[in-house]
Amino acid sequence: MKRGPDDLADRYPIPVEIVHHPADCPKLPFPQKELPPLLKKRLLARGIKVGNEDANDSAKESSLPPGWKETIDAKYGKPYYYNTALGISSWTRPTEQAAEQSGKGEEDPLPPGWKSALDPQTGQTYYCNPFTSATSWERPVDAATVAKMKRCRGCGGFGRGLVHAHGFCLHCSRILNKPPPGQQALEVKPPPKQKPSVVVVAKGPGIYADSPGIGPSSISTRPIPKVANPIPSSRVQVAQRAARKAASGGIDPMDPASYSDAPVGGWGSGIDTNKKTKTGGGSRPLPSPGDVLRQNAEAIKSAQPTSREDQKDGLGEAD
Amino acid sequence: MAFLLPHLRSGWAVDQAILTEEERLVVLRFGRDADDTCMSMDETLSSVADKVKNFAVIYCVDIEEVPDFNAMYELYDPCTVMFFFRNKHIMIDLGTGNNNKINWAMDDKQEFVDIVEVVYAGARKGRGLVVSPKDYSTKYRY
Repeated sequence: MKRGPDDLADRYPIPVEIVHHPADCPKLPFPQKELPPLLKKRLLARGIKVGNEDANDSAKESSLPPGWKETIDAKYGKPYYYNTALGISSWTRPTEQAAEQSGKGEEDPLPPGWKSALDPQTGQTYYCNPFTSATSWERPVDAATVAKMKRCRGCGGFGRGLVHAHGFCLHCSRILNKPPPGQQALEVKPPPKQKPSVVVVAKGPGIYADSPGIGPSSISTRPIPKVANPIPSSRVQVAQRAARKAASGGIDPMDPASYSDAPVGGWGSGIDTNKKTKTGGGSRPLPSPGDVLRQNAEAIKSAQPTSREDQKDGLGEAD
Repeated sequence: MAFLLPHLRSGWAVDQAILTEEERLVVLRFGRDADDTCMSMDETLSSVADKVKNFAVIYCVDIEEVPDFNAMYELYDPCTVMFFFRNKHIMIDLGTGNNNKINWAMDDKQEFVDIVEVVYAGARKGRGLVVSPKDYSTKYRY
């Protein structure tokens, strides 16, 4: 198809993004009049080009942004613009600014845990979340971006008034010792000597991978301040137990023992397994003579005054 | 009649006697040789020892000589008979309430052989508790 005469094209200005916003099409009177400059400016701010000289100017303007191509539509005989990389077509001539905007929109941060990757078969970019095993061809939208809120740099949380000016929430600024610029850092002295009594807080997946402190695979260690009194309180006992458990295998974040006074262990823990033979009624088998002799030997050994080393866990006999 | 039965003189000997016996049931009689009840029981044991020798072996343990098991096995009866198979204690439901042991003197040889047979058969099948062919709950009434 041939392109119509210039004046016709100018008289019927190409509507802005017919596909998306048909309502936005300005209906201009046939004998085009000069619009007031203020209105023209406002229309321009909305991306609507009006007036002969403007259209001419924009047509003559610099080349299309990279990735954009111009073709004449077969049905309407109008030029339109498309971008194969972005999969967008538009009646309006894309400007550098718009391209910049769309490019910037493309760089919206992914939701925490998501990664972009290249599909080797099709060569397309896809998005995956290794923590939830979710995949998507479409770029996932971060809820924080939609809500126009900043995420905490530590934990990745967001919310109204949650993240402070320095980029951390109150909790993270305390945990990671990142106080707001005005305030003094908390003095947390590592406990002197003794075993490394730390509570290891294993964080679940789905947090910023590049965050310095709490992350999907990182572990934040929080030193427990040393108590002054030599008698270990139950809280310290719990912490020490938790530390020992952490040293052995790590704490389940769902385990109440990792953050509360609940004792670490399963249902049977804490029951003295040594006293497995409680005869009485004869409801369970007695140990074999070999076991009896061994238990007797142990009982004699434990009756001896135990050395200091045996009690170094500081929990005494009650543990 | 205790002299007809092999005696185990130490805790270690008891342990070894049970550990080394792989195919046969080990019957242990805990008590004092001079005790009346024990002598009565020993009479039964010594007379059946030869009959059950293919599947059971009977030992005597003096609880004064070997006090190691007194506390754990609660050996305060004058005579106590216990069964072990492959280093495992086998319980018998005698109807007396105490499944761990026979703590009275048995006069009837055949009854005892029956019990040993039942214990052996059950233990071979992996049972930890076997039921005695006869209920002894009313024993003291007659």
